[in-house]
Amino acid sequence: MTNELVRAQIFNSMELKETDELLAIWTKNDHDEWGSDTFDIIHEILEKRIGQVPPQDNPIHTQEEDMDDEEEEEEDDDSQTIFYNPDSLMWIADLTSIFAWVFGLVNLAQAVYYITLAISQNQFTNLNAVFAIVLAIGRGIFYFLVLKGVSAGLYILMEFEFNSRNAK
Amino acid sequence: MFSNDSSDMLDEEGAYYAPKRLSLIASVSKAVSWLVLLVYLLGVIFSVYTIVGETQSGAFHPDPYTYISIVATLITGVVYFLLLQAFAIGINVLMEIEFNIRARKGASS
Repeated sequence: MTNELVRAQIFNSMELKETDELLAIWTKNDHDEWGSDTFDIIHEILEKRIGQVPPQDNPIHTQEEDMDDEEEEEEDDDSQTIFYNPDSLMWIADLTSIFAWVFGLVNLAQAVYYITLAISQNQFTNLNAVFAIVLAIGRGIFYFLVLKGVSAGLYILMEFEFNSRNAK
Repeated sequence: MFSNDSSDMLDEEGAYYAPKRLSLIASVSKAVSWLVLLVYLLGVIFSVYTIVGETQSGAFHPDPYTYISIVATLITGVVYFLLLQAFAIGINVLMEIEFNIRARKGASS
């Protein structure tokens, strides 16, 4: 898993916490419980929320020596997924999200064309013309929602996968 | 395609599904996605080729709908490609989750 993704996931989970809870973690400065990246992220969030970030207590590092090697090993583990590539997943999810808009716009263009055609030929009483307009709009909305859902679904699956790996 | 680890894991049967078969479905889905994209691309190329031929012979009268249709065909192909790719990746991620949970269960027992 890429570092940016891990950072984004830590950021999201820290962002959900109350300011008091973040302040408690920040001031306690327990590096056995939280990684250095997490403190950077907490500092960033607190700065945004309260402006002035209070000083930290002396850092707690009881397992520091052992942790360095273990963390490195853990990071190696985290960068290994067996069945899929997180970068490919993100690429597909982002592209799907973009094409949701593109496909929606193309169908909208089709609907606009049918409408102008119906206006110019005064065919609004023609059921086929009305059906073609409704179909183009409906198809655009349907695929927009499906593609957006697929994009979000992929990210949710990756989140699940990441959490299941941490639990392991 | 997969590492040795994954080959070993694929050999482990799940209670409700066969990992190898699921993995095969994901691989086929990926391959079909490229095929679908290729077919749609060929369709678009054929349409453009027809329009160019008709324009040269003077038989083609520019019509916005024709252009919108070509773009729509191309985008439809890309959308199907993305949906099939997403389906394949989704299956693989689900398998990864399942194996992670199984490993956790194995470690705790």
